[in-house]
Amino acid sequence: MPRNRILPNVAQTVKIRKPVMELAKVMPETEPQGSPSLRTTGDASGIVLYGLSKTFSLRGRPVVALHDADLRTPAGSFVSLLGPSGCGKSTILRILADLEKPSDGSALIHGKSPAISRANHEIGIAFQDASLLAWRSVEDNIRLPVEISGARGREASICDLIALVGLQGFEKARPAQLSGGMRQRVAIARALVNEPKALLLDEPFGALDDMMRQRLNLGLQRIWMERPTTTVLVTHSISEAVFLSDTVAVMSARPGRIVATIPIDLPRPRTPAMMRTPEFHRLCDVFSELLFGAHGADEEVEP
Amino acid sequence: MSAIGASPSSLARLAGWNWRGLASSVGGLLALLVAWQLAVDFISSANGTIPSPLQIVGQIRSDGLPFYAEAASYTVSAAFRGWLWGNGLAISLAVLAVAIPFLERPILQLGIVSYCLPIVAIGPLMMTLFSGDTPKVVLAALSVFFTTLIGTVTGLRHVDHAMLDLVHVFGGTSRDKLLKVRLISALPHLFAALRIAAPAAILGAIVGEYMGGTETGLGLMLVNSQQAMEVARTWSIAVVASVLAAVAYIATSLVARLLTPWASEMAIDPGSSQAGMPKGNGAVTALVAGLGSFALVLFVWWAILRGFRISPFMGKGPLDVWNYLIDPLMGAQNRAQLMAEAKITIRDSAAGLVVGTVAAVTVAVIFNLWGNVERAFMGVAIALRSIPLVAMAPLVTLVFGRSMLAVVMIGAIVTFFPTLVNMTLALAQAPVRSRDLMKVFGASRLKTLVTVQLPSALPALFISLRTAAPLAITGALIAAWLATGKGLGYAIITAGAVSDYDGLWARVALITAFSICLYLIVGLVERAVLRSLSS
Repeated sequence: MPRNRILPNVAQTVKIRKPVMELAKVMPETEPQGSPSLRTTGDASGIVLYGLSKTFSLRGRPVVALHDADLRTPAGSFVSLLGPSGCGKSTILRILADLEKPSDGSALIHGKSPAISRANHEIGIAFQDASLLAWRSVEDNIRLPVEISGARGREASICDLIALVGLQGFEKARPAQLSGGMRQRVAIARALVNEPKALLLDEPFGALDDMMRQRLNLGLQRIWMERPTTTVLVTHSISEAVFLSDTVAVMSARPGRIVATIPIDLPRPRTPAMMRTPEFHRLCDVFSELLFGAHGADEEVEP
Repeated sequence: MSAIGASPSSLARLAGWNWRGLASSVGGLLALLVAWQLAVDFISSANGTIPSPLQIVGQIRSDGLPFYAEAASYTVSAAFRGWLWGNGLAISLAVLAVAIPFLERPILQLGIVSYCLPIVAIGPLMMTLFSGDTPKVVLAALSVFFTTLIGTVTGLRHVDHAMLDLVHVFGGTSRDKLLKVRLISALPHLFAALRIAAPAAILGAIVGEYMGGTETGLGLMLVNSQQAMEVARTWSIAVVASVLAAVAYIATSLVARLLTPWASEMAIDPGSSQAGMPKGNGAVTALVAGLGSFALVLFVWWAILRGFRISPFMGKGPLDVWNYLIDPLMGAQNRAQLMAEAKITIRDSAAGLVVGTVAAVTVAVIFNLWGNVERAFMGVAIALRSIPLVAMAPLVTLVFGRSMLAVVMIGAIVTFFPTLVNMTLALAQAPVRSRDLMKVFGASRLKTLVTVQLPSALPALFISLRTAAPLAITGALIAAWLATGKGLGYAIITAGAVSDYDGLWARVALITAFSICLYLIVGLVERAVLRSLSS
């Protein structure tokens, strides 16, 4: 197969659950629940999705946002959900955040349900929109999760986080006085302040320009390497997913589903220079083909 | 995000909140005063009914400030008590409506009814039921209730859901969401309502004083000096009342800025005042809801009479009014009489509403085409919007005489300023991108106005119409009473005076029903038009 020739080491670890076309033909209700042999295997100490499905009702009609998603990642790993809009990547994140309940299947964070992780204040989250409270200063916004969890002695770590995201001197500023990039950095700091066991990022830099995005991604990697946290990043940028992740789950729309789970074995820390290597480009090409050649891809990649 | 950045600055510009804007506004005000002075000196003083600004200042000087201060303190004290009661009740009910979704609809409907209750019609009722200051306080409370109710409900409801999600994911409880997000983000809406409430309470108190039953007060002095044809003094009292209302408005604005300096940084959706409108889609749902609120109003009417242990001689319930209308002996005559009076009132209020709206839209278009005119006079318009112009009815009567013209003028003035301010803001806020597009296509300023700006300002026009409709009715009632002596407004007063309590209650019920109908009809037209535009 051509893909094997280009990237033998990656293709061997590509796991495609089912022929894409067949899945599309029999969707949605008639498809039987996948047999255990087809489920992904591996270290399940981090994020686990098992047959996760979500159906919304839109004006009385059911819409399948997510169908039968499987995923396993080890604790402390960085996984990206990569796909076009409407593929259900944000739905997975919202289920992990206990903002939505799955219609079927289950999701676990470190072996616990999202509801329990949430109630224990173990989740940090950042959205595409910074969602800062307009009436709070930078440091008060970062303090919000601490107030909610009631944790003590976090003042020093708030200071550290402000330094970490490069916002010294802006502690007392209100969100409206900050640029878009600064607001997102506040959101990231807020997500980290409780030292969460799981970090959920929904395109946190999606609304920023490429250069700002690159800079913040480097910062994010640095923070993550200092304190490896089980992280789920939702993105539609291939290079961002490859740059940051240990594992990338490629998703496809209508119905939303995970079509492949691919490990990224580039060494860390990853540098901007690394983004110009053939290795990096080859990885990006694999994802391009999965995402854009999905409908033409009638060949099957065996594990 | 970009919307948040753009809208407050444009609002601040329009409202003249920066120094340059302030200078323009002061300039515009001075120009108006000079033009007024010159017009009175050299052109006409309308048979001596319009004094010049200098004559008004002279009158205030010769009367001495204490003369006005005593009356004003009397009025303000009643207005303040009404403000406290009305706002307290409105905020409590708003919290209840948001906390218990089941109660939202009835509470909002009660709010609409309270807004449609013409305070001029309620006044004589209050005079028969209560004594002393109570009628004034009740009228002031009634004047602020609806805006604060809607403002608080909108504020509590209009939360950025991402913020609630955030608190949820961080493990927050409903209590965290309420205390850390909902209550605080509701404050700008609440303050916006309270700002309108301050002058409105003064209006309520002044109209309350028209009815008499009080020793002094600005309203009483206003009516007395009008009837004694003391021109300069009538105007002086009106000026004092206006300044008081403006001060109340500005003071509330300052408190709001101190307490919520971040408010202008939050996006406030101006379309949110749709709250409380019938939401059901089908005609059946609407009918059921309508009947439900009708029953609710009847129940509240009955409950208030029973709750306050009001003597059945003076306090007539729904059943008494029904009997009054179908009485075998007098019923037909009563009905004919009521219909004749209602026709006059409907004609008067419709005329005022139409004239005021047309004039306001015209001036808003002129403002939009000539930015300098807008910068000069928008400040004055905003100030006049916040002044209880219904309370100026004696003044209008003085100038325009006891004619149909005076009636139309009162309704038009009441409608004009709120509609002008709303429409000017709406025209300025039309999507910038569509306007740029029209410009690139080479469309003229007028063409852009007609194809882009006016259609996108339609929602604001309907909101203005709905807001102005009950005011126009109040205007027509006052005009009937002070100027023409015809229509429901006059009949209500005379019925109260001759102790025809059945007739009094029947007329108040009729005018309230009419007011609610007008409000609902504007709402229905609004929905139909906006739906046909958006689909």
